[in-house]
Amino acid sequence: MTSSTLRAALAALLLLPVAACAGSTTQKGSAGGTARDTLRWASEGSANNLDIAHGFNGASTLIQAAVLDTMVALDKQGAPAPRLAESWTRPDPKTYLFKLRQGVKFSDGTPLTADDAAFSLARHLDPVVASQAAAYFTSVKSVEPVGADQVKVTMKKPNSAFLALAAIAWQVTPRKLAEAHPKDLGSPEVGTIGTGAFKVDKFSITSGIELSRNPHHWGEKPALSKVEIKNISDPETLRLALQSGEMDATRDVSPREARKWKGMAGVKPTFFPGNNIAYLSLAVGNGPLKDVHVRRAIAHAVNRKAIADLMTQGNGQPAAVVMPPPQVSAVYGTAVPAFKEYPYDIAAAKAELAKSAHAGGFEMKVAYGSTGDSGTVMQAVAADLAKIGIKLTLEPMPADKYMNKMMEHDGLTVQFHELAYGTPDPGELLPDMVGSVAAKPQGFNFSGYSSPELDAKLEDLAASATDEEKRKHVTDMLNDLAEQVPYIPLYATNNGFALNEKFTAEVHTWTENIFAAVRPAGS
Amino acid sequence: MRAVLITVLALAGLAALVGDAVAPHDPAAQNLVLGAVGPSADHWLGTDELGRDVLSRLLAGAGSALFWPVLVAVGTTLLSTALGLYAGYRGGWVDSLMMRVADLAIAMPGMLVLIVLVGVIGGGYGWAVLAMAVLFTPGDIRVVRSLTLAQRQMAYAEAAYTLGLRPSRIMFRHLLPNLAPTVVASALLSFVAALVSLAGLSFLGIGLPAGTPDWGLMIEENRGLLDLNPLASIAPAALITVVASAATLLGDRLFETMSEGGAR
Repeated sequence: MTSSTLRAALAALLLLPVAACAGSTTQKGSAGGTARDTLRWASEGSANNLDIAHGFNGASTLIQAAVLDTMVALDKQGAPAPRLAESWTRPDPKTYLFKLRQGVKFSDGTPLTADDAAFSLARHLDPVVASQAAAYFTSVKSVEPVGADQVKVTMKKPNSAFLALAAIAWQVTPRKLAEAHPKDLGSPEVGTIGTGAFKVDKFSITSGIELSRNPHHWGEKPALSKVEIKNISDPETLRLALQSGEMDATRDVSPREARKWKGMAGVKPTFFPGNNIAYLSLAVGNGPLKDVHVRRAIAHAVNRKAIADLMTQGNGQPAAVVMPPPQVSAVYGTAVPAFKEYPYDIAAAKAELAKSAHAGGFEMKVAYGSTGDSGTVMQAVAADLAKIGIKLTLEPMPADKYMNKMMEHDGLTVQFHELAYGTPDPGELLPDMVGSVAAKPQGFNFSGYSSPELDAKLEDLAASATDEEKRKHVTDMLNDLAEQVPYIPLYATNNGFALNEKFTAEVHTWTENIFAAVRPAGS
Repeated sequence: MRAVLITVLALAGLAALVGDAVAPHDPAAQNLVLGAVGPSADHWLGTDELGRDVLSRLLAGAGSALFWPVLVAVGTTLLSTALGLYAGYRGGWVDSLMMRVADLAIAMPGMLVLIVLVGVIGGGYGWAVLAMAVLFTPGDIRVVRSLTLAQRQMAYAEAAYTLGLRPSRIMFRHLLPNLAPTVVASALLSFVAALVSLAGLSFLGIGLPAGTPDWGLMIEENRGLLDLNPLASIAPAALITVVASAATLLGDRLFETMSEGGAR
């Protein structure tokens, strides 16, 4: 993934509702003359590409999940489950052998082959494709079809997160189509073809997208016959569109705005745990932040609970570690170890600062994106740090410019991040937090905190053969982060989803194809 | 009526000068636990999302909201008056050249230029103010120049020319006083345009850091709180409207009065 926006988008996609979908009836009626099984979906962002290689963002992956099946799915607990691969084996730690589901056809009626499935993964490794999902598959050495119904994946080194990552990004398209369009597959001009529950009838970046039920889908028939997706970029306009009945559903429901959604007649908002984390990164190579005592002082001075309450409005929780709660649960269950914490304590913060070479405080410029939650959080953080003599000068920037600056690791100091992840596997997150590769430009390690020892730990984590091993390595790294404080965890938010009461849906953290989860009420 | 308008602007000016000092609370003091609440005895206009006193921020923000537009108006007026007078008085190729340049500048979408300049290139609020002064000037140059062309044909101007007075003396001692009503009205209109445009930039989150007490920024930061404390965004919007309207109407009145005085 190339940006936090993309990652956030992915997370959003994966946090949406799933429902048992049975058969449906197609009846005319209800508002605006739309069919009862037609869903009008409102989205703040517009999908730019229906191929994850060039559209790895929330608005795009929302559509991709409806149209393109992945080889592997995630079940309600976030564990890898069969999809196009009806089963798999791991003959050795570096090899996966996937058995393809039989009788599957693409939406144009052509049969799915092992060659299609193999090529769909291999293309992410091709520099010509320049896939945005390439970072997910750096541990893959080769992919090849074996016979008519098997795909063999050989790894350069064991990667315990591979199946989870494959559930996100190993989307399957016809080889013929993908090979002919290495760089523009999924664009409005080329479009895409998949085996998913829906097919694309219309794709325009500006005027929206229309999907209809895929008659060749191998799985359960979705209850909706048609989905119309419209882009409404202003949150308030979007909310009013649902309130008026112009639109039926959205997942762009901010926890901070939950109070507005909860009082709307005819619209039901739902919140469920999000696989996300909001935190501050402290650039450990920059000026006073090099000093661990300064970093600990900042951790003590920031009132994390107050910020968490402000930003989540009860639809989330303060974060104890820099890891989304669903990932913490996936690793530890309910037996989460007690990691070192830095409770809000101005006296303790001053005492820590007194141990540093900056006992009297200091000034620091902090850039932030002028859209979203960053301004609010950074104002609260600046007010807290002012109490111990650390003056942050906030410098707003347009979101795109700030994102570029961040990804270049240009002038990083104290930065606020909200990142969302797609899988319950910490092997997706921790390389971003402590990896030396991610500490370079275009990486997500914005603190720059890394070491050969931590890189070795990451290798060990990827090679973990058992959950116990994985837990041990994760615990070691989280303890290290708690001790050295390159990050200050702030909060995790729930994800929101609002639906007109003419429809129902079941929602959970790992839902991918939200449209397949929605059904007309009473059907 | 004029007294009312002057009083409104005087009060706004007073707030800009001493608002920070008379604010009942520290405009930056946060109370996250309190959050956004409506008016109370302690917070007459309620608080914003970070628990900051809205009234105190309005008073503290008056300086930022008014100082920069005044600067734009003064800069625009001085520049446009000087250049418009010169172009109108000299005529010929100088006039043609200056008018073509002015046409080009007028054709540029001002707000877009400002957004690109401040938002994309960077450079801070000062650059926005400077750019705004430059962008507002061409329109006023045209106005002053056309009036100068008309005044130059008048008998008093012909007489001054015949007497061999220096061009600068003719322009500034004889022509300018007769342009004063328009110049003053234009200055107030420039102030209003700058007030609204800078509030617009702040509303877009461009230029001023989050948390700066500023009327435009307050509208943007608090617009999501209409259900909790509507005054947090309505009050700054109302102040911008009232000050802008007062300045516009006062400019109109002054133009009429000064024109009548000149006619007499």
